[in-house]
Amino acid sequence: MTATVRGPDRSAAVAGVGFTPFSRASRCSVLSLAAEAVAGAVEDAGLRLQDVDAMGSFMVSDDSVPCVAVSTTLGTGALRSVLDLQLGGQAPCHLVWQAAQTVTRGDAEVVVVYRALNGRSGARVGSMQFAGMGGQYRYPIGYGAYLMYVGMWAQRFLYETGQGPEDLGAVAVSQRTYAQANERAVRRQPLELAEYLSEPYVVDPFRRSDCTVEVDGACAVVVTSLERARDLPHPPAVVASGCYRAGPRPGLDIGDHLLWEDYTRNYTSWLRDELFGRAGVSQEDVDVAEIYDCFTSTVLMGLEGLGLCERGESGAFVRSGGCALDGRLPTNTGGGLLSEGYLHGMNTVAEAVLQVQGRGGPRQAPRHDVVVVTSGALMDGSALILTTDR
Amino acid sequence: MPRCPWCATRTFEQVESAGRGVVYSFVTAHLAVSPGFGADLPYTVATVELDEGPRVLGRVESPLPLAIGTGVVAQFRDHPSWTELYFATDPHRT
Repeated sequence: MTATVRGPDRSAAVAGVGFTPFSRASRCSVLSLAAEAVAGAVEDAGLRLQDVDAMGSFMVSDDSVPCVAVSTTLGTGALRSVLDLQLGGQAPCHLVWQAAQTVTRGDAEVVVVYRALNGRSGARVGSMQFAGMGGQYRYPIGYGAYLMYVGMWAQRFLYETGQGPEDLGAVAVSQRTYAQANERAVRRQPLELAEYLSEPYVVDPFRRSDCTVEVDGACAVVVTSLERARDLPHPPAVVASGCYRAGPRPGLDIGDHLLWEDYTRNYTSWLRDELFGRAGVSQEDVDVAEIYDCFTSTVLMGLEGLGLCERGESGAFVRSGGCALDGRLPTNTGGGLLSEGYLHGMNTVAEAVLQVQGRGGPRQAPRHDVVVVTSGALMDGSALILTTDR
Repeated sequence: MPRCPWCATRTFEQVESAGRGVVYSFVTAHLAVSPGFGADLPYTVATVELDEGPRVLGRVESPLPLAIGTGVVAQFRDHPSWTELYFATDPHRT
């Protein structure tokens, strides 16, 4: 309970969420997807589009549309703040934290944060080659896909922590169970551990069910002041803390990890103390976790990095049902990116909001006063702690 | 004058490596997720920790499955416009 860093004094909250359906082929433009999710989130929050006076979003190699485009399409209020980040899955929590601070400073009153992409039918980030010099020794030898980079970390992580395929598989199985209670999820058929273990490797150590599903879709959340959120239809999800962190020498791009000392500890280890300290809560206080899961390994690494499990014990925790709805720490309650679909963690944040608000329906965690959510997998990333309005 | 993209130095010093090291970590591709290398499947790419300290990436040619900690030794293979550094398992180190 060391609150050594001052936060925004719990003065901002998430008031609503919006989604498009997730599909393999949206058959519409990214701008259209973005507009649908943003309009949906604003309506869900009980606000009008004219109330929106700031926006934030992110894209990888121009795979999305900038905030001013969405503002134009929807006819939002005049923008007083905007953030278009050139980032991937590291961005969602960071953007919501920036939105909260924007509101707290008084720079804007209603901030919409969104992610929109035709991630399956359009540009696919998973096998994308990045500009710059980071790939010059990678691409010529066939080391050019995101799951290979994360796999390189996962292999070492499993080795050092004494964990294995059953531990990765337990994550996939646990999250598939949640997906059955989530109509938005694209993978909903039940999965058993034996079935997981019988899947051939895609890239050792990962099988098909270790990997997220690339989809077309969009997702948005609305951030406003806690005071205003209290008058809106849904209970506020108070932004208690947020943090972005890159460790030293984070690389020229997401696949450039050669200068990173320790593949068994990602950004979650680096931001943990600041994240919890700022919120004034401890790991024991966390009721629900939404851990960024482009691949199963990042859930284990995140649980350990945040201190929610002891090092080397996350797999056993998941295997024992600890992450299930009736477990000690319900985790990735919407099925996660693994089963719901790869909205680069924007949907991970939205699921955290729904849980805090008590709107999880059949997958609602019984206790949901403190929810931790993360964005990112490797050298850099961000996280939030959301709480009920206590 | 150009700077090193990884450390911004303008002065370069070449340090000779004996070309031996151990596998710090690896992945083995069984599907062609990295475009253009389907004919090579399955293949392994490792992060190799050289005995002199630095880490490098390279293919490792060895029976599967490879294990972390395996000793490897550098090999070179000429392609039309470049020379590839790859590794074989080191018979002098298990």
